[in-house]
Amino acid sequence: MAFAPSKGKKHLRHDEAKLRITSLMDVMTITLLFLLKTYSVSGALMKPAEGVDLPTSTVTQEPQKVLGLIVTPDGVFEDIAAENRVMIEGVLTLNDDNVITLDNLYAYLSTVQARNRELGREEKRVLTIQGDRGTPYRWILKIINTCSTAGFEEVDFVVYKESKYRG
Amino acid sequence: MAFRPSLKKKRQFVEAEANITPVMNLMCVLIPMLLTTAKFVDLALLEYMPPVIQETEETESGGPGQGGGSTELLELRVNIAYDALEISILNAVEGDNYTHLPVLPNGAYDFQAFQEKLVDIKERIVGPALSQSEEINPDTGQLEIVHIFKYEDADQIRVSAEGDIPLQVVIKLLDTAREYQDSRSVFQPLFPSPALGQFQ
Repeated sequence: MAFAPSKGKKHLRHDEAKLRITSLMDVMTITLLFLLKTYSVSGALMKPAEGVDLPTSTVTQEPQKVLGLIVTPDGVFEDIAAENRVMIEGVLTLNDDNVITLDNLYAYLSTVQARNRELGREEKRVLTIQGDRGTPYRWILKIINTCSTAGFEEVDFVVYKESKYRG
Repeated sequence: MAFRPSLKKKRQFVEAEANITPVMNLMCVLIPMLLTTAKFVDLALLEYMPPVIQETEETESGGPGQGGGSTELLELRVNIAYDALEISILNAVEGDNYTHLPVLPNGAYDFQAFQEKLVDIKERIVGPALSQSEEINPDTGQLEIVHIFKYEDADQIRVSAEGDIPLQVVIKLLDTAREYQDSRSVFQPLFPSPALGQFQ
């Protein structure tokens, strides 16, 4: 014998189940506004190199995409992704006090400039260095000297921006 | 006679809901795009122009100051030694024109005292601009006002450091020497043209 349906079930209304997304919309609106506020095209132009702890500075000059070098505690490298990075100068040469101009770096810079000339690209005499904050001064001096000898008029250091109003 | 009840009273109030699905779609596209291009670290460039080595040619009319400027040189030098900052002007190695700022007890360089010394040099030794002229900047092509000081190299600072001094210390020193905040909290230029050289 079948039981009679309960009174409660008999009067149960089958309403359409709706997902409440109002709170999700709130979160998304706030995230969107935050991202739009911090949106900057220059961020896409240059990313800090992997494995390099950049120094901090109060300068405000925006980075530009030109020929770059990466200076890590292991040496000087081409500015490309970490897995394909090619070493230009090793620690031994950089630490050698008898070396003033870095031959491998000079050859690399000359090759890049010659290739740019062949391809008819605009010849920029600006170079950026992403150097680790612990890079010894003697390395920096040799790199700058070599870049200057290779015809680069401006050598820029990539830094993390720091507020100059901070005490 | 009773009035017939208004039809409005019987109208059912259906809860109106905005269709926010297109807005959600837009957000689902915009947020990943903005997240990928977001700049969570702020990068900047510290520009450095290595000094051009020129063959100095002695002429009858005089040296470098023949364009109406001065011929005197301040020769402001800063040596970053492992244990101190050494500041000298006018090629002095001792006396009033030479300052030795030892590192603080915590091992850090005393950049505050360094900046105070530079401000003192700028105000007391260099002094205010004698005159100003308008020149076209060859790099930007724009007309710029150039101040002429008592010393030809009034905006230059020659920096040298011992071999193992880290890059961060050099950059901090360049930041300190570039400008300072005066009593009205306005940033004023100090010695914004550095030249890096060998430790002496």
